[in-house]
Amino acid sequence: MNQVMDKLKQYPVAVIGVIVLLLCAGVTFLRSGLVEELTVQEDELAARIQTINGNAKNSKDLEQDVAALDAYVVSINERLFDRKQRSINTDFFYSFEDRLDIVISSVNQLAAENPALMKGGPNELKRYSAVSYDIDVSGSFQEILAFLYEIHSMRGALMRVAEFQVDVAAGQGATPGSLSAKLRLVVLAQKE
Amino acid sequence: MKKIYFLLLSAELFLGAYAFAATPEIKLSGRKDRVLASNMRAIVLDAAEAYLNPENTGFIAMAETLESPYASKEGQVKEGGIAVEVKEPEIVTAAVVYDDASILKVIGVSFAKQVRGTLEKGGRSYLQLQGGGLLKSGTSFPATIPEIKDQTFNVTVSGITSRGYTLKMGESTLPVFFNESAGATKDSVQ
Repeated sequence: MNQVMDKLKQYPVAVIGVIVLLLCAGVTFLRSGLVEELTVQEDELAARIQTINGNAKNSKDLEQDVAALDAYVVSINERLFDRKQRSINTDFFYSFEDRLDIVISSVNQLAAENPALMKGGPNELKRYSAVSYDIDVSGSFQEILAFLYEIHSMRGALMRVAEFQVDVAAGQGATPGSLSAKLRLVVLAQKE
Repeated sequence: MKKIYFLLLSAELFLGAYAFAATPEIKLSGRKDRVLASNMRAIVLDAAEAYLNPENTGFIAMAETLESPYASKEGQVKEGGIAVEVKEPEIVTAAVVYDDASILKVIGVSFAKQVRGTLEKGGRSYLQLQGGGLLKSGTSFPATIPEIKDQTFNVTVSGITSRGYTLKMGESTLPVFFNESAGATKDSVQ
């Protein structure tokens, strides 16, 4: 005991330093789990702050954009076909006759859905479905172009031309210079 | 040294491929807790506007000024998107010798105006007429010529190929090619 006291008196700073070092090591050892936990929590909070800052930056005009997008969704829903309403759907295509001076000789709604747009297909439609139509139409070159443009404009329905074939109109009642065209249209429809 | 060049080349190719990789027009993927960037939202809204409310581009007015490529023109017929040029043989105004070959040549000139081209379907070749009708090989039709008004000649389409067709009357045959003048020949029966 006397030797310890002698050493303490001889090297007071070194002995106290060793004691403090041992205390710090002990405290660090006892609190090491808490430190790791707090470090993870700090990282999470930093990530959240980063997300919040990014969202705050990207939120400019967000409400206006959401309102505009809602309006577009309403516009899309208004133009969707209902597969079961065959007569209304068919009449939609015949209505082009009044506007474009073309003659639509047949409109055939196909029972089978395009496999590419079905579940598991490469262009699967998740919120909608699609209805295919085969349409025979005749008219002048300009009238056929106008019909294609109307389809492209998608004013009444959201559709695209999947197949197109045109030829000079034949037969006894055919007007000279008129063309006959066969189209397969794919129209966006309500989900079944 | 070669290894360094190889690494530099690989890095350049990788960066080049990355830089030129096509990015989709609309990219909506991302974490659900992130607000979509305003520029990405703008792309979506622009696409929706373009598809749902397309601008009037004056296409209809422009289309009215276009000439139909299907309009029948002298010597030019469109078939299946491929222009088939039919050169009509010049009508010989000299005195006509009234034998089968010369009569067939006159009929051939008149008939060529009614032919649009040929169509091969199910391994068989057909002649496409301006009115939309099809004539298969072996079909016969009556024909008259102004020079001999009171007589009707029976002409047979004896052969159809992608390059032309052959008319036959009696012993005479008339090959008609879409890209060159026709000339009547007479089969020797001796």
